[in-house]
Amino acid sequence: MGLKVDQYRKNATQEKELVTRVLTGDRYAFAEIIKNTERLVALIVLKMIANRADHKDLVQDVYLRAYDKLGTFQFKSKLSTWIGQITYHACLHHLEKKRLLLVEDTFNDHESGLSGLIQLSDQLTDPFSKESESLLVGKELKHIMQDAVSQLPPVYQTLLTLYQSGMSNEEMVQITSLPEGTVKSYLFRARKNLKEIILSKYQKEDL
Amino acid sequence: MNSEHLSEAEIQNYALGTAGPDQAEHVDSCLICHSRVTNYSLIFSVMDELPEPVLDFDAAELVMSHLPQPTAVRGPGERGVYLIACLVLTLLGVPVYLNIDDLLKMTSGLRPVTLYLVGLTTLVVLIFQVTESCRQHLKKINALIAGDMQL
Repeated sequence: MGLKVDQYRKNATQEKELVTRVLTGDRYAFAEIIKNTERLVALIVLKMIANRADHKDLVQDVYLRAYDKLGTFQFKSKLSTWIGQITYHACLHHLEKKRLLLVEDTFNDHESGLSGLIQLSDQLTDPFSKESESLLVGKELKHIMQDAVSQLPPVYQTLLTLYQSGMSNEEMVQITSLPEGTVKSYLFRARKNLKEIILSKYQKEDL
Repeated sequence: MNSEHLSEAEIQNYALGTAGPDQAEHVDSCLICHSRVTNYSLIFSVMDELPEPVLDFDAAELVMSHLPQPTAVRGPGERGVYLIACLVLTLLGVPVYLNIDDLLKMTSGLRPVTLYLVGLTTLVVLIFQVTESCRQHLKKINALIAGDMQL
């Protein structure tokens, strides 16, 4: 436990040094910040935004915003979490713009901005159907899983991926600005829908 | 023993390893719930093996080329350099002018035109050196600010 706290303090000190260097004019310190946070930004952008053509613009937009607002960062969270928050909201804004143009909202959700993005999740079959209680066991399970994950709504995909990457609920709450109960609820629904997507398509192979 | 089947949330928690002992006891004895747990466990284990999504471009290179350029230090500029040169000339020239007789006595063996040429050459070289030094100094300051120089 002591080692983890020491590592956390060391990371926090390094982040503070990098931010100070950027704010005093060392642009190359910002390149270090990009390299340190690129993984998280990639996780969020690639899961929220299916269109590859939009990825470069979004990543650039995220980091330029972070550079512009770096002076307002108060070290109340990790730098990566703060940049993750900018990324998530940039992606959300991008999706909402497209949804307003393309899809009429038909699903009321008290989390504003997410209404059209999760409506697909509630239209799946009962998991207790007779022949669907077992999963396919085969060589291409990873491919099947990737395909199933890609069918989930963007927010569900993102939360699942962040969870699988080892992120805590607290960090996910900070990034998404959603209440903890909502994050847990979305994770539950994401896993449930993932299972139902797979069960609805495949049956167990006889070994 | 709890004979009621576990809820979907409880099944997930069990597969994630966060279930209570009552739930564990039920799963061990109920084929349906055991099967449901197995499904989730398989999903979670396969998800753990999925490759992490990575960007197919260099984010640092993309972003750094679009960062706003730092503003260069505004030194005295060309005009300022010549002003400094004129000031130096004045500071050197005034004592020379005031003590011209003594200087002429010292250089009495020399012809005036020789003296003039030597003096002029010295002045031109001096002006050139001062101007060039100022330019190099400003260039280094701006490079330091841009972060291009290694200290």
